[in-house]
Amino acid sequence: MNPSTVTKRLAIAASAVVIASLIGAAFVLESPMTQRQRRLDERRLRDIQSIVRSVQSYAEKHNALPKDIAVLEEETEMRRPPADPVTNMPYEYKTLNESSFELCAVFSLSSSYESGRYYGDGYRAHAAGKQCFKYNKPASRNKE
Amino acid sequence: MASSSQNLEQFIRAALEKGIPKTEIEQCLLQAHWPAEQIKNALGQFADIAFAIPVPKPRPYLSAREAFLYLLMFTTLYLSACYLGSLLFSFINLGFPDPAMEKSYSWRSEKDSIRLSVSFLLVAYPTFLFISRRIRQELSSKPAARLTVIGRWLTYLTLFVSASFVIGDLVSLVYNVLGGELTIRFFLKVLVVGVIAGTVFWFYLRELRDGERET
Repeated sequence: MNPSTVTKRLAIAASAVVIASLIGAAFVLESPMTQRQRRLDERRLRDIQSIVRSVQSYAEKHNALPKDIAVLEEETEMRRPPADPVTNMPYEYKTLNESSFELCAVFSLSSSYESGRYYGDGYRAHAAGKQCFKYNKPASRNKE
Repeated sequence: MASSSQNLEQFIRAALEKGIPKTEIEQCLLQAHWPAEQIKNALGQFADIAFAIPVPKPRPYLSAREAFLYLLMFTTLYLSACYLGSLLFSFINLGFPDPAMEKSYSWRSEKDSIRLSVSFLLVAYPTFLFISRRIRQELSSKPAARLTVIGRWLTYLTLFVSASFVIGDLVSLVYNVLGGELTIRFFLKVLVVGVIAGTVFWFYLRELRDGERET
């Protein structure tokens, strides 16, 4: 067989394999837009968690939940309470009773199955749209 | 080594100047126990043109431009082969998940790995095809310098690398079969490595043989 025929056939076969694999990958990966929204949702969750930590450390110091997030700004290390990365509106905070509170955020997508375990503790599954999560004031430590 | 081939060349040059035909020179050298391959190479340095003094043939030389082209071609070849393999491995991992790993974790890390593989393939593979074609076109227009020094070296290096992969692949296959650990997942991976490395090896071996046949 003519050497250049072999080369051509091999090139076509290899390219077919590469293209098929790339198409397969396109099915597995999410579109860049969706990925971006997932990242924003992850950012919102992280923001919420940092607020929760601040609230809980405030509650330990003062033995009461803060009235609103703005109070935290003065007390804790948080320079400015995080806000939604897209709309820039602050996350909703509401005290439910003496020992529990609620934080709300508006999510772009519902959380994917795989993110859950990947991010470990503190991660909460969520649907798209406004979601509220309930948190408890940490039990007060016995001071000896 | 160098001095002996210099001696040989000087001898051939002197003999050709005296008008002795190449076949007689070859016979004489064979009688003197020179290896046939070396005689052929040395005789090949001179063109078969009737001229007052022996006419040297152009030798392959090391040019920076050729070095650049060959290095680029083999680099993109290696990247394409490795990341195609990695992409196929990811598909195998997704299709036949390892029961020891948590499913959600492996999904996430496979996706990131797929993204990387796709990125490399999309860029490196077309580049490889383009440069290969370029080199092939240049070689066909200048048959004198069939494979330059760097081209030959890199081709042999590629043979070595791909052969190592094939050998390692077979070793791991035998090792696992002997251990009774043969799963579909493992077998498919062995197949992927074998086919990719084997194809590269086969193709460039042919290239070298074709090149050597022409000179």
